[in-house]
Amino acid sequence: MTYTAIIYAVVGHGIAEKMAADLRQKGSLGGTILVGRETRDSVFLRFLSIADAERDILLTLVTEEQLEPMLNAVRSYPIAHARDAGIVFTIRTGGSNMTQETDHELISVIVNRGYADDIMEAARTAGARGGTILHARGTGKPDDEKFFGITIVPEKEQVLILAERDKAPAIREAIEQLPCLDTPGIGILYTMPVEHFAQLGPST
Amino acid sequence: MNLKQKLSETALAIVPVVIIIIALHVTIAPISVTTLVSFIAGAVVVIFGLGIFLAGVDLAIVPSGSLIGAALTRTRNLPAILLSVFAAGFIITLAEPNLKVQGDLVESVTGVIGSMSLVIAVSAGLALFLALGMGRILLQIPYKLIIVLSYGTVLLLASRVSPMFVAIAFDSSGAATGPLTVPFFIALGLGVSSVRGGKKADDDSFGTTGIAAIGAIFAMTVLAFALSGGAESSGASSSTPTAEVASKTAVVSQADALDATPDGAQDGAAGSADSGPEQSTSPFREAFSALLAALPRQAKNVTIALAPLAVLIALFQKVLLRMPPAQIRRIVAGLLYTWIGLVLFFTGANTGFIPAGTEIGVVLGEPSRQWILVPLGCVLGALIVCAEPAMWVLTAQVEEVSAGNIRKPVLLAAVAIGVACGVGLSMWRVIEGFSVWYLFAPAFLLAMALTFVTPKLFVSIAFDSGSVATGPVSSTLILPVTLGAALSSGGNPATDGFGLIAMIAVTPPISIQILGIIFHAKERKAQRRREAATKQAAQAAIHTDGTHPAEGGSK
Repeated sequence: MTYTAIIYAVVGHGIAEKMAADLRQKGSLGGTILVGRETRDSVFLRFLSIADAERDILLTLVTEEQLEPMLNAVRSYPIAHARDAGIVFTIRTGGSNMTQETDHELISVIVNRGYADDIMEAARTAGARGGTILHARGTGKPDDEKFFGITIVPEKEQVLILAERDKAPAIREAIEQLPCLDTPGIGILYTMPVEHFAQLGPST
Repeated sequence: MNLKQKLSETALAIVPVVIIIIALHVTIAPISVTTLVSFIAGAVVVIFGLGIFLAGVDLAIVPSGSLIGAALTRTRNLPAILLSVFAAGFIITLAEPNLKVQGDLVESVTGVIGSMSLVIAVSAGLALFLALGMGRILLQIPYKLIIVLSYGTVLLLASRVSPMFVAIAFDSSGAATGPLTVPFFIALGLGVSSVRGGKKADDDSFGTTGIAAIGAIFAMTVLAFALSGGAESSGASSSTPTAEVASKTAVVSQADALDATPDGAQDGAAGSADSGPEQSTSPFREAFSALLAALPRQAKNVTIALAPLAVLIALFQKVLLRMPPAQIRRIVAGLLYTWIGLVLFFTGANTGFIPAGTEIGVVLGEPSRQWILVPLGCVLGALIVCAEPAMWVLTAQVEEVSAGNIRKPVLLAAVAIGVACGVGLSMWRVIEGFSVWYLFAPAFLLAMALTFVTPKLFVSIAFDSGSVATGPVSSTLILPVTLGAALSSGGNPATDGFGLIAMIAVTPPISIQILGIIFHAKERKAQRRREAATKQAAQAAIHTDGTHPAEGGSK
């Protein structure tokens, strides 16, 4: 019983819980739901600054035997509205399959709060189709000054962008070149190879 | 956010209110056609206004408030933090148009308290307690300690001054915690607590607005106490003869909230009364022109209220925040949405809701129809709180901080139950006419007592929701109904109005805390079950192949 992959399902807000219940019935031990936001792929809505939508990310850890049935369950999960449509992909947890060529990459950017929208904008210009923004907290460093016994921890945003392999370098480049990110220590960026990419629900 | 979704959500909140009013119109409480049409037109405008406003809050008010809170905390300079919070709270409250209206009314009615001194006292009290609320988060002073101490003092003082001043104090607090100030205060608190490490950080995310609201009441009771202490005899004698008339105007026009100079309120009432006979103009055109006529004044009021906030954000951006370009664009767009939304909202609520509410109240207050008041109060209370703009902001933030654990509908339902009880009890009191203290004191003591057994996060949400529930919709619809009822059943509108606002402020804290206790119990049960399941699974796994399962079961 070794867990070899994590299934990421990115769907509309409120869908992930039902999906997780569905997967649990099919034998998963449970999952973790992250709540984030996404900007829609509409130039008009983005111009009006009303393109945001709430998104759920359901993380499910699976064994090799569970992988296919669980993926199928996610893919065939009925999503009624186009606004809840999303994507699914997996990330390998072990080293065994890491060398395999994959056609998608997950770009993760962790930055101080307030920069996510600039990053998304740059990524879009460089060819990204979408991305999800998660709210997070840094852990602070052990030698951080205390303030009335409280450790002050910086607020962070994590931007997750799934991109085709050939587009990923351009997107990475565009983010790294952002003028507002040239302060040292403002954030980190890394990528992970991704498998089993599929669109979920009706297409927008 | 998604504007379409926001609009359909707000429509869902307002449409039931419209249905109830129409149902009343065709059954037991017929109102004039003009009033009904302008009510429906107002409701439509309110739906759009509320939706657009909420979009703006999401884009501008919440992010900038929490960024400012976080940036301030990171400076690690306690005096500077408290001073900035005080200054921000003072300026924003000072600009609240409701408060100015309230001050003018109180001055014209009492003659003892000047308009300017009321506005300054309330703003200072609120800002002081806002700073106290922030300081509390940083210094880790228990929330319930502050709540119990400050409310205890307020109640003690309140029992010694005339009920009318207590009414004024609660109304002033309700006027000061408007749909613009509340989201900003909530966001500020979120920002301060967000930079705190440790697993208890979320517990402190809320509660600041609840404390700030006490500050306003506190300032007013102290002012009233000082004044009545100094002029005991004259105050007593002068208040008796004029009380009846004076207090009527006070509360009726308080309901008029943003709209009103006192004669504006009279115009509104007179207009709807004598529009009946002259049937020449169609009610639709009349409703439309009434809305249009109210627009410029609301635009001016909202501009006055929003301007200091915009300046404040710009100032912080220059000195402390330094947000990147895309973020700035979002905030500017958001402020614009907030402005448009609020103008529409107040225009619709003031021209559509107040006349309808008053007419219905007057009809229902007649002895033959009084039986309906209590159940109707419950239903209206429950529905109307769901239409309060600040309530939506609060529940959305709670859902976000709890990572979707405490859902919007659950919280709204709990507040609705609380407000339903509060309004129902107030209506009962209007009919029976007993002293408000018989309801108010036990309710308050219960709210205090519950703080000792409720999970911390829920205590702070509870007292926030109390101050949030007394917003513009309840003061434009429930208050007129109550006052209308009080007028025709021979009650005293001043103290009845007080009873209502105070009850709406105190019942949601009770229901939310009860929700918290239930929530906590359920969570513990689920946790135990989960632990048992994991243990079982772990044992099973060890038995089958000896490897340990990874931590996939935890949520």
